[in-house]
Amino acid sequence: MKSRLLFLILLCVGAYGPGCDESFSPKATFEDRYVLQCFVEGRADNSLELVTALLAKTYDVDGFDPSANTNDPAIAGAEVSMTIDGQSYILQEGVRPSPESYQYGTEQRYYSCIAKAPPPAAHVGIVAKLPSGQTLSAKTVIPGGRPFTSSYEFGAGLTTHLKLQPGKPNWTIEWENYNDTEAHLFFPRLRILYTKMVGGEEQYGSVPVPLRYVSGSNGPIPVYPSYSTNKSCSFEFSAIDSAMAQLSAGDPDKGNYGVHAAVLEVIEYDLPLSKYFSSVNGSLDQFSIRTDQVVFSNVGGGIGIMGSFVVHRVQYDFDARYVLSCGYRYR
Amino acid sequence: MRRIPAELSSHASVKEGHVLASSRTGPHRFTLSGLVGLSTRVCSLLLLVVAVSFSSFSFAMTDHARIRGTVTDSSNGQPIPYANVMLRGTSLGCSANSSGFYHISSIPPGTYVMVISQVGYRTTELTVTVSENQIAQIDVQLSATIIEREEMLVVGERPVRPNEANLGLQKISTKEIAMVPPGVEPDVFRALQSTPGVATTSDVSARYYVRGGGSDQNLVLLNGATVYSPFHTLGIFSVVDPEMVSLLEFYEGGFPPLYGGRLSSILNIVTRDGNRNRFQGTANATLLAGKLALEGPMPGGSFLVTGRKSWYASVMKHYLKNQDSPFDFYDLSWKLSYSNPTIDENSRFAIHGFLSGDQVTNDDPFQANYLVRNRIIGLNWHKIWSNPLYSVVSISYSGFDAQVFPNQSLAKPRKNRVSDFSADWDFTYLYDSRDELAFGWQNKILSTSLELENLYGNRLSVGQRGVDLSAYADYRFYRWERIGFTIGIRFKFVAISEYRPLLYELRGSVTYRLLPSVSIKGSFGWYSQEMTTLSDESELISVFEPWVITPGYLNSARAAHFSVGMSTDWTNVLTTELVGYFKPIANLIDVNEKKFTVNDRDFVNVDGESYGLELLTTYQPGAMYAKLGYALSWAFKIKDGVWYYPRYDIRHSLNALVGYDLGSGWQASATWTLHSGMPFTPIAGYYDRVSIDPWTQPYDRGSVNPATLWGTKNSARLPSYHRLDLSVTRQFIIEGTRVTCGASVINVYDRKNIFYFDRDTGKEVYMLRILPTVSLKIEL
Repeated sequence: MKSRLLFLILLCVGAYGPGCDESFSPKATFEDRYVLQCFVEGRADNSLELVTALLAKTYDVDGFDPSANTNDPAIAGAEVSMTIDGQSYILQEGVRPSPESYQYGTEQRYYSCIAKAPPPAAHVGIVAKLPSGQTLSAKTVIPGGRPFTSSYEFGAGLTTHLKLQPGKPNWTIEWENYNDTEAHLFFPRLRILYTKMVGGEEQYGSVPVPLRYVSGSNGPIPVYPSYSTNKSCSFEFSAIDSAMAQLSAGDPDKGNYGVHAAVLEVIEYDLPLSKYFSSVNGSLDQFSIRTDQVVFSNVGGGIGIMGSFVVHRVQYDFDARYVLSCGYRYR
Repeated sequence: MRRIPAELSSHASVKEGHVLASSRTGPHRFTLSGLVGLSTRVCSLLLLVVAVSFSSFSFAMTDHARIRGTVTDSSNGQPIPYANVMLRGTSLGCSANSSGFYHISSIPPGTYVMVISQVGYRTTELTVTVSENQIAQIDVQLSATIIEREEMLVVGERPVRPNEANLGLQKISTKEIAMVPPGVEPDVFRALQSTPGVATTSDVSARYYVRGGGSDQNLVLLNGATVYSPFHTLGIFSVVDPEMVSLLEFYEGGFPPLYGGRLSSILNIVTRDGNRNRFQGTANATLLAGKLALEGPMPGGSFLVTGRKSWYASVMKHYLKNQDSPFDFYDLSWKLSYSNPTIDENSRFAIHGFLSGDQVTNDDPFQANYLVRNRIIGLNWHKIWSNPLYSVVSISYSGFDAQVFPNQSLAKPRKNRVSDFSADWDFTYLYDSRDELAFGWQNKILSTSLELENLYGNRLSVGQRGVDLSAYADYRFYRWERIGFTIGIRFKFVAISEYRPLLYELRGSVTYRLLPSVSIKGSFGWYSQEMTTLSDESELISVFEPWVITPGYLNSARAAHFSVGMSTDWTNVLTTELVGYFKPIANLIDVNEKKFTVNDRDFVNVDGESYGLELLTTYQPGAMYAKLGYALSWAFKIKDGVWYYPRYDIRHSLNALVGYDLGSGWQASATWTLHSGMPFTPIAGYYDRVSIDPWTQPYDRGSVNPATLWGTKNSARLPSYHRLDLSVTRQFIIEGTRVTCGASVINVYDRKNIFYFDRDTGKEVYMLRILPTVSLKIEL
């Protein structure tokens, strides 16, 4: 009898459980922090460049949808300066038309200056003195130049109509590795440039070339390059053919298109940006669940990122016979 | 040797005694000479152990008799672990060991009534007469109680050795495993979770954390072989099928020198032998998997084969982030037991094997595939020597493979392989003084390989090999009535990792009987661990957790355990144990959260600390079995001088388990769990992050995306967790076939326990909601 009574007591205690609900919020006390973000493009030709920086504060919202925030967190009235290899520039406060997705209105507050684009290996620093008296600062070094080598020497121009060499099923482009930049991230992208006659006017366009296609349930699916520390990328020739066909997909008038070249651009990120992209683009598999994340920041006195990148560009002209065989004009 | 079916005979005859002189060389052989270069303190301890061995040897020179034998189940011939064997009217007695072997020494010549008891079996009495210097071999068969109310859970006698120093050891019976409401699949590890000091982080994982240690700090042994991945499908439940379990020993801490290689706990699982008397088949079906077990006699022994295969992956949608996961798993266990009195009446052999596999095979080329496998094969040789020496030789191979096939997904290829050859020789020498000396050596040849590619295409291939050569001695003083203590040492002659851990590990425990029913207990020990899983604590569910030998640039982990406690047998049916512990840990292996480039180390050493108080009460009146556990605990990790709570730090934990035999084949059980919320990293605000798209423009064009600003790591806590599970089974016989139908309800009152909150939306993601399940078991 006592045993049964105990059993019943346990059930009752358990049944009482629903009454023990408690309020819960995954938010801690709001942390007021300052955010500096600045990206500088390095160029070897010392051409002029518009350098921009964004200064903002952290914010909070009711609920958990930060896009509901309508108070622009941008900071006005800061003194922002940049040094490029010892030369100082003052970034002026201004506004620019905001992109479509901008949630704070049609204008975006930013700081900018026209500066000589820093060459590879140049030292770049930024300092922002906020109206509150707080100072944010960051620095970096511009990444270096990279000569390319191609796995195929296309005598008459880029073509897929060639006899494959043993061990070289794909077109592979490599770039040099320097010991000091092993950790740099690269983003390669190959685009076919074309023109199209619309209403008697020539319009320019480009189509990205995937590395390869894989079969999916609804047909072939393209696989494009992504961030990598690899010092090469490899395109299947059939992927170039497919991209070539893609640029006029659905248009029976192939002769309306002119094709001349493909451009390979490899974006090289400096160490801070490489670390930053590593931390924010880390992708989990389909099952893992991660609850928090450490995002890299090189901004002293606050959070954010100041980094630089260089776009290495090389153009590969097509073999005219290949372009013509696709039904396009060669120009 | 004659077996004595206890239910047929109440007056046993005994085997001719052996001459004791031949056995006296046992302790002499155990010398640890050659251990040069050790510290004076260690050598002193060794000398103490040897001196005590010699002093104890003098007790063996008496004319007293001994009784020994094996306790087995009359229905199937299987050894019954931990049966109590005592001589009525005396203080003489012992507990059988995990193989059913018992030995009572220092028996004055005379006639005695020997009482043999064990939970779930009918208590048996035998009249035994022994003479001077005689070793009486009495093998006893106990018959299981008939499934009738008030008899289902026969209470065992009080421990015959109340001074046994065993603080931290939980012996979990198969009855208790059966008592826990099974959820979708009965699980051995779920039974552990009702033990105070054992924490879990979610309903959807059988992974457990013991007294503030990580989940890879728990050693799981299957018939003496290490199981590297004891979980199916991301840790949802264990690979060990309860149908095959004979014995579950669980050390929460302070484990003896016999065990090494892990910092926190030992789970020693011994599988059943097959039925020695008749062929038997069992079919079992749950919503998730189907199981088959076949067993029966074979010449000289028995066999047992059990297999389990998933068949309904859709059930997984309750558990996983990806609700269409094509998960598939299987496990297969087998054991051949053999003994031949004409070759050696005191030896018993078992060859055992185990296979388990989990795989995810997607049709979608943009989803990764996964594969995890365990392979174990081993040999156990149990030998009772002519002197009071018991030995177990275990030779095993344990292999583990885990692989990620990325296909075209963003996952990266990863591959991990572990090969573990182990050879252990463990002895227990039993003195007439009732003292025991356990000693032995254990050898492990390990190789691990890890191939992986990080998110940015860098390939890493690490192959490591190592040899572990350890020896141990553990002297157990059981000669006094009121006090028992053990002192032991475990030497590591050759270490696996480059920065080896401790050369020697001291262990000890003590029990003092303050009152006949009240004992004060304590234990201490040093522990080390040279293998670790490369897991990220911030991943609640992780697919790939490779095992590696501690990387050469890190120190191997080490810990110390200190615990004190009190156990009370209030009555024959009510016991209570109260334990306090403190566990400092050094050199844990943790993911380097600040690894942003390939040049940064993947892992770093961190320290830790845990302490707490645990209370366990069991109440077993007649047809009822009740267990109530409470733990108050603190666990910390210390990284770069910053202390924080790991995710498994649970301040208060209460577990109640009640099973009740309702009679006529009906059984009901309930578990209720309540614990305080687990730590998590809260949201401290938001900020706008510049959005860069390398395909369009790699620089700032004003496009921003909101991002979360995280607060201090694990500085907030989820709401408290509580859940009630109920289970009812009905067993009946249909034309000679035993059929058991079961129905369970998980989370009866549909408590919304928070698993985590989505880091992007703040949305709460709950653990298991109310989930009814059914099962069917047919025994032929």
